[in-house]
Amino acid sequence: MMRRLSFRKQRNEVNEKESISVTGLVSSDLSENQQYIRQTFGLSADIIMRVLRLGADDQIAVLIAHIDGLIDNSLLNSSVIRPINLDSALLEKKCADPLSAYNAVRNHVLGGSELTEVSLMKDVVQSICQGSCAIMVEGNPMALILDLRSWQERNITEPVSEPSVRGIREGFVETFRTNTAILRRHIMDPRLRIDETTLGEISHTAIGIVYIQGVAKENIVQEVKDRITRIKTDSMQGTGMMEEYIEDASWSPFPTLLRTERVDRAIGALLQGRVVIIIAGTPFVLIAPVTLTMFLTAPDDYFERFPIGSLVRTLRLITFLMSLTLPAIYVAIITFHQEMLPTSLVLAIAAQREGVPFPAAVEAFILDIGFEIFREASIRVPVVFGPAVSILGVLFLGQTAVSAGLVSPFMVIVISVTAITSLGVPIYSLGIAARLIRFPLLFLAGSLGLFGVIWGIAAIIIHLMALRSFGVPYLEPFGPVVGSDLKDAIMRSPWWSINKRPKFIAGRNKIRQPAGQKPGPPPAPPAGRQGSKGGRK
Amino acid sequence: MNLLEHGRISGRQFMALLIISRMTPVILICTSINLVKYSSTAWVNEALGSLLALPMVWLIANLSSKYPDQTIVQYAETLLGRFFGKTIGLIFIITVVMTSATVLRSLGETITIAMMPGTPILVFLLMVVFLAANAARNGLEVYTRIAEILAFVTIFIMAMLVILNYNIMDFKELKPLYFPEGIAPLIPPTSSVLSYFCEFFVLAMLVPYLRKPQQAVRFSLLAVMITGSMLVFLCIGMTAVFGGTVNSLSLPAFTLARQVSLMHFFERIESLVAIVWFFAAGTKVAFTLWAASVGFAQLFQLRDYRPLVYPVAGIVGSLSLISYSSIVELICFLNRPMIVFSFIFVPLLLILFYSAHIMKKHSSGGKAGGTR
Repeated sequence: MMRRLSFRKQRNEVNEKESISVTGLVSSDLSENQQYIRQTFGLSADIIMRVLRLGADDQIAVLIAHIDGLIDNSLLNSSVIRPINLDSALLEKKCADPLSAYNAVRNHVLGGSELTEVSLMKDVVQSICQGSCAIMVEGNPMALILDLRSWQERNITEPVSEPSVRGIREGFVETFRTNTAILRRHIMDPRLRIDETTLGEISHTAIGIVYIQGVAKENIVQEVKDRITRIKTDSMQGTGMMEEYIEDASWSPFPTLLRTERVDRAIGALLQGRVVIIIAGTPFVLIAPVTLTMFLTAPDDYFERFPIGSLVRTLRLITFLMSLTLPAIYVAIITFHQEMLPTSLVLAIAAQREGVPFPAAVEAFILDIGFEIFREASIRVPVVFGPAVSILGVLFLGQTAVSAGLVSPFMVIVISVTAITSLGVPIYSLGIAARLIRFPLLFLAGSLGLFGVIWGIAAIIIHLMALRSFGVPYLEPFGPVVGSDLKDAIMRSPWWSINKRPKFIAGRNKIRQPAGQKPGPPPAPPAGRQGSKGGRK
Repeated sequence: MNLLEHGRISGRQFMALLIISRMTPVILICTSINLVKYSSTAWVNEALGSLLALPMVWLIANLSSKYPDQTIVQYAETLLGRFFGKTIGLIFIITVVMTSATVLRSLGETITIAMMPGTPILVFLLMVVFLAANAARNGLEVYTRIAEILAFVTIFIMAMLVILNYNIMDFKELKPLYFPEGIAPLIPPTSSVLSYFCEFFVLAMLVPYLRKPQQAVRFSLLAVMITGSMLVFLCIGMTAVFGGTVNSLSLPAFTLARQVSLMHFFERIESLVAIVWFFAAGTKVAFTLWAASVGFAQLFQLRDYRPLVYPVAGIVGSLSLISYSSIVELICFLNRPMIVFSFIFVPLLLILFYSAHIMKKHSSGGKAGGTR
């Protein structure tokens, strides 16, 4: 019904179009095609059409149409215009009639490798929109589409939102083809599959579903494809939108897809058997079946040696738990369970809190919300005001709020530590989840003490245990416990011991490497023999 | 037969669930200690009770593994016919509901005593039962996964409790290991230990959901052995720490945690014990709620058990509130009537089922386990 209504509205436009080319096929009359393109694009100034002539007596016209700015002009000159103008003179005999001229242009004249033939005017217009050059030869109801796409693009730079000390220094960019090429450059194997579709009725955004054949589980790949093809929308603007369309649990604060702009993270995920979704126009990619531990790992863990990697990862887990629960636990202990603290500390806190007019929970709420506002504002603040705002924050919020007796210094410490810990979570989307959960936990702590906090944590654990990401349990190596995957969860075992891919993710190819590659000093040569001779055999 | 649940669990998860259910009451009351006359012999009762539990649990698990695609509610009907089967099934489910209510109440009582004395117990009962119902509604896999991790943590904490108190232990307290009045004084505490193992009957609801139901016997016996040795270990520790006064303590394991003091910093770990125990008891409530709901759904041949979880949780919550007027009454119930009830109920059921099973086997010419 809706479709019918909208169709009726558009009827006038459709009628106009129909008057030009009733069939929608490429016409053999060039002027008709030219008119069609002109009509479709309206008054857009960046559509460029040029008519060239070839043949002995310039009897055959050739129409070249493209959009200015989407195409490499020098390439257009060298591989389309110059050849048609000059080289076709060498092929005079072949350009006697329109059909042979068309064949000559297609087979001999045009440069470039990505050449296709289309017969529908709709396709011609679409490929012009996507940055191809359309070439039509008079007298032939076919159009040649030559891909000369080249536009101003951002250089490959270090990822901004996920810095790392020892990781790969390249991040994804906005250009779809560059991103696929980056992945190809790192995995030079034909098993790396990049399945492409387009989404968005108006935007025609290119979507790439990347996986390694055999390493990724087929039903997971199929599930990803199914969920993506189910989407019907006018445009696909970035990963956030895609995430909301294909995630498992919409109402969960926890992300069930991992968004990253780091190439090494995407490569690592692909090699484990996960699926990477590339969306044109955004420097972020999505990684499909994810587990909670993936959000707490950073590429640095793998590039550092394993003891340090394990230590840092454990620290990061503690950091995450602190960012989730620290204010709640502090409030609960201060309000209900003072006996849990050492006596001298209790006295110190009590002395500080003497003049504070609010209960601890309210105090924490004020400070925490204040901090959130401050953080949000600091993202938007123009660079020139930056120093002023930070002085404001330090002096007003930190110093004066305490001396005015609005908040206690200890609470400022707790909230600041929490703020710092929440920045320690390597993936931003999990950090925001922690921010979101912190407030209900604070409420529970203020009303029910430690019991409330534990109750809240239990609720989170139940939720996480029930959560799945594309059929893979979210807390995978811990719930259910999978021994081989525990090697690469909180602890990062040495590379030579992680022999298996994740159990729930890997397809047929489950073994990463043969076991027993632990390095060591060369075995001592057996006594009484020439060591070097025996060794070389 | 409809199994109503799509989740499947591994043998290890099954074992973890049984360990968790058995360890849960220990923190509140350690009957083998509280009922014993000479505290130095307390661990003997634990050991004896666990040993006696082995054949009983073998009988329960063996019976269930003969019907690997049916829960007890279903094979009761297969074995005993429609009317008797349904009656026995109903009684079984009611005992599961009662167990659930008892666990819930003891959890609420402990929170009230140990953490928040001023708050009415109803608050805790409602909040815990709501959470447990939520877990049960999410299916078998969710709470068994929690149990799997929790079993490791529980064993670790129990071991820590004993090991960290090593400096104040006095093994002379275990010394006079004699029984001047014969074995008669051993009977009440041992039977109490055994009565807790009777709760293992709930495993009959779990067996068909195992990935390999034939593992049920092995893993349930393993669970008995693990919990038995943990309890003996804990009992020895408690006796060595507290000496002759141990049988007058109300929360012995909790008090044991209170004694831990390492470098005057690593202290007051009783809150850690309380947290672990909160999770353990919550998991057990979820497990029993799930078992009761699935049981009801199978009894009345419904298509889904999930709509039943919240109503059953409501019943469990109110039962836990009205069944006992105080913690003293709860402990008294666990110490006497529950033992008597278990010792009548479990053997009765086992005899009934086994005789019916043998009769069926003879009548159908050795083709037992009919629906396989």
